[in-house]
Amino acid sequence: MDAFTQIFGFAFQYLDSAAYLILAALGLSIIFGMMGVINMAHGELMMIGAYITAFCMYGGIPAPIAILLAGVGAGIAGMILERLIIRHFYKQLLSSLVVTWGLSMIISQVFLIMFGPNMPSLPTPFSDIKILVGGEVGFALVGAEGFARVTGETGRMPPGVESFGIYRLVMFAVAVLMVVAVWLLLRKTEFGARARATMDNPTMANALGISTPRIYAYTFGLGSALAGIAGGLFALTSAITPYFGAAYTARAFITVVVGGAAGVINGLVASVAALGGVQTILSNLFSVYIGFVGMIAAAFLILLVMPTGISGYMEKLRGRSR
Amino acid sequence: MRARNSRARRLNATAMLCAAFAGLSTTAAQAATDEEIVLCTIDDTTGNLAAMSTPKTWGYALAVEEINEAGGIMVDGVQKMVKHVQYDGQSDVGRYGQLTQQCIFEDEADVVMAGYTGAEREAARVEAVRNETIFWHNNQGEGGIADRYSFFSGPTPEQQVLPALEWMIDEFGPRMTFIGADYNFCRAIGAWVRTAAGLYEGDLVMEEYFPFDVNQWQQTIGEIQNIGPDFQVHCLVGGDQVQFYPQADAAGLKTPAWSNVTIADGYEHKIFPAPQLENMHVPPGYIEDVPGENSEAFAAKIRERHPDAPYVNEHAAFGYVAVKAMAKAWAAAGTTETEAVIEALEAGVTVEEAPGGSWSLVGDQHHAALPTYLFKVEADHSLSLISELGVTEPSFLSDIGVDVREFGSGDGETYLPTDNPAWADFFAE
Amino acid sequence: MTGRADETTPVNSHAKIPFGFLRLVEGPQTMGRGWPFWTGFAIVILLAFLAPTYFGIRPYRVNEFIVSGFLAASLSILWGYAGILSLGQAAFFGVGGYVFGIIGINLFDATGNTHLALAGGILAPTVFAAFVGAIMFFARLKGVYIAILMLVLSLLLETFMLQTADPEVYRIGEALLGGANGLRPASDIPSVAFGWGEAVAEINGRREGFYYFALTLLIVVYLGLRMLLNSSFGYLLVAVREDPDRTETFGYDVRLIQLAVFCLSAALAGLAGSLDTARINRVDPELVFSVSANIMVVIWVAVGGRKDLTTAILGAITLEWLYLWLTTSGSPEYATLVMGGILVAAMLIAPEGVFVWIGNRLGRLFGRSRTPAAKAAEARQ
Repeated sequence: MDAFTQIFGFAFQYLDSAAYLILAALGLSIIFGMMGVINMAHGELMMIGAYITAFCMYGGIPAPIAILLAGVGAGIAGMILERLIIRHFYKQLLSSLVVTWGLSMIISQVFLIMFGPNMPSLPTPFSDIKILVGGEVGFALVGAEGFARVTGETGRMPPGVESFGIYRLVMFAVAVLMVVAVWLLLRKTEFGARARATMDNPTMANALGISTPRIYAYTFGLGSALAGIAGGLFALTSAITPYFGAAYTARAFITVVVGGAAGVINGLVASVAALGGVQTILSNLFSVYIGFVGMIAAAFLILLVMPTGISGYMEKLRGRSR
Repeated sequence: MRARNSRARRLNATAMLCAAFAGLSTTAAQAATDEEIVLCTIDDTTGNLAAMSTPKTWGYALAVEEINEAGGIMVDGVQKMVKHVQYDGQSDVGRYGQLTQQCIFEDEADVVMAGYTGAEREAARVEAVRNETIFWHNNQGEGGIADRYSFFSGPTPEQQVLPALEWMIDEFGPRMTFIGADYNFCRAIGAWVRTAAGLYEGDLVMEEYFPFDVNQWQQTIGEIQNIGPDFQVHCLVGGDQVQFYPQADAAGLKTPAWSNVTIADGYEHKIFPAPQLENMHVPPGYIEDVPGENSEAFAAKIRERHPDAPYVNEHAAFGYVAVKAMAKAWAAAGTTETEAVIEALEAGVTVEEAPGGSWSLVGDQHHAALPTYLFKVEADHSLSLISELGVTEPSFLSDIGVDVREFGSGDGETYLPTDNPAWADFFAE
Repeated sequence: MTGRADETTPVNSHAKIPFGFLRLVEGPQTMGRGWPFWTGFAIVILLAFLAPTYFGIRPYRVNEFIVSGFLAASLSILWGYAGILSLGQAAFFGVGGYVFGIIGINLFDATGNTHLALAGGILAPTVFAAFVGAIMFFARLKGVYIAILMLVLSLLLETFMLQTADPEVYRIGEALLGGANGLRPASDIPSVAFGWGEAVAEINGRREGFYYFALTLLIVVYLGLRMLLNSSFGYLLVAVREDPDRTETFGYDVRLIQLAVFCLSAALAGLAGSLDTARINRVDPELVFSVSANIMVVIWVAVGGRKDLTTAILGAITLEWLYLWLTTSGSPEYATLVMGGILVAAMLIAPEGVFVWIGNRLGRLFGRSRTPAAKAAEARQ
């Protein structure tokens, strides 16, 4: 295997791992960072997104629209939950944990009763397009025919050539777009200003005429919509079950907390960069097993060294240097 | 037995008080009468294992229905009906111990059948065995468990891994890679794969295990592509790990693969979109696609009762077989007394109507002789039968000199291929 | 542990009377005081002891709930009193359970008792907690960061234990760690046994004996903790919870207090874990280290009422009982649904905990028995 193939593979894994963490955690980081709610039903909101995407696509709606609808649907579901229940639990980390755990039990069970334990999975988009790297090929983007030409009769890759699907890169691109969009929304719009004001000091914001309940509802809806979109994206590459989301919640939560609450988006990005990096490096140096365990261990160590998460630590450093 | 019953009667008398005291209302008076034989089953009908295990409850119910329609079973000089008590394990291993106790102490079960995963099986089995109750596990397992009270109806690696990999090596060539979940079952399968490689002159060029939460597979896909094996062996378990398939498909890894955890339990070919599982080879003891009268009749009966069933899987069949086997043992023993029934089972029980083809329990092994089949998943995800692997008589335990009939109380021993001295060379690094 | 705490003992006026510390069973840190509470307490205890004989309570079933009571108590003192939430409390439970099992398998045949196993099951998580806690508290870790750190720790333990299937490698004496299938050989994991030689009482976890034993132990632990919480140490815990900075300015080392309560809590969780392993002669990674195992402990305590020992223990027993009852009666598919509904409803109606809510109403009925926490909760309403 030549150096270029290795570097490309390394980059691909890094982006793949980062995309996974960003998508799983973005919605949660907004809800946790801005409202102080530990949303254990986050995975279930992703699951709702996955189901909406699935039903839309069974009905012939193309994937991008289906995923957007998933975001809308999950956003609405989130706002309903917020109005009915979550609004009683702002800044109460643990009560919110119990309530949302209860909600997650209810939501997944309702889906099980309504739709059964399994849904037909969806085809992965762009699965015909592949990137070939290394060996006699060098670097090539090929379709089904090109791929068949390279693999020949045996259906086997020539020595030294590695192939990559591109959907994972699409996921990364969408994840980056989502982060940028959320950042712009929070930094450059009036809603963002109000939301940040509400987060910093709800009483003051209220006194200044900001309708804090409405801001909270929208923020929760936004976080839920992001979860729904992420669920839709993941639905295209995994089995869709009522327990689809459970696997994401804990890891998303760890990512968010490692990021810290000092900066919702910066913290998340830093956390994803660090955890994804550790996973990729260790996987390549040792094994996928060590990479995975190493990522969790890294979360452990980061929390010990930076007791308020990465963003808190960075803020502290900045404060010190001033 | 008697003491327990008198206690149960006293409990009935105080059931009202009990309910008032603690809200135990419905379960208090459930103690079985002597008029019925009690079959207690625990399976995951909710939680993340529901898709695999729910069909097993259909198999149990069908067998009980058929037995009772035929007039029940003659024991202690009376025709007794089988009473089926069924609990939901909620895909939570913690439930299995509790519910097994419920089966034994509350429902006074004559037999407990429980569990899908190894952990669930062990939680229930340890409890059943400690209370000297007959226990069955009814889907494929890693084999090698030798215990007086435990019986296994499903296929084991010597019926799946060995004959199927012999075929795979003949067909595709000797070089193979193995990837699997890092836990007991797949570790055992890995040892069996190593054994198969040793026995049939295969060459295991990669053996790697992964935590359940791994769902990014590009690195492993790349490694396999670089190795370029003749075929792959998989033991990928759970929602995260099976994401290997869409990713391998997207990356264009088309090397033939073999797995005994795919299709037979979770009918993935019906769930994943074609052609993600193309060229996968699976060795079930039963799935709906197995040809033959027994199979068709069984699938038709299940479908008649559960028209929405996505697929009739291995669980359904071996749940059914286990109940039928117990019925024969009870009838042969003429009693439900545990020791006598174990003796009847050990004398050998055959279930000719088994959906996968005639099934018979081998007394000194507590595992069954049964046929297995090798299917290939086609590009459109239809299954084609490419080889009947035939009936394999289980001999793993007797080959290493273990006779389960000689075991007393305790929960027995678990043996792995590494315990067979004849195979020691395969594991010498 | 808390040298300074002793100097401040005169806070309590009963201290000069011989055995005056017994009076500490009631005080402002714990709910329930005066004759109405203790009469009710006595009646409940009496009924509980009579239950297996007269009310058809099944020991094999309720024994588990009693064990949950210890675990709930361990989290209550940590989270409710000292304000340190751990989402990894089951990790200590699990470490205790495994160590009890490993020592038990190896020594039971030789000694005939489980004294050492039980001691190990309590000590191991305590030492472990001292180690982790020292790093955490001296790094000034707080709030949700501790909670997540502990969850991560538990998940690391789970991942490690899951891959210990190989009997050749993961063997400690006679004990095999056994991977996902749990500690083996299960038939050699002893029940709790006390005594020497001929005079050994082995207490089967499925029988009445264990019920009486565990219940008695729970009552002893409960009363002991009440005394501790109403002592100056308890005041310190609450001070650390309410305002660590101010506590510090009074000259206390908050980190030492936190570490002390963390170790105590781990010891209790270890005791619970040991009892649980002895009860079912089994322990496996999913049972003790998984996310849901950890979250369940938080749920018991939150729903019962975290800021009081009594309510936390009642929360655990009631919720476990309810969930099992729902699972085994009627239609199982609705069990989870109803349980989820109960959690949501409980937190909506009684955010401070269901039993705190009930206790306050009972307290009002008798015109007594309020904790500061309860008063604060009322004031907020």
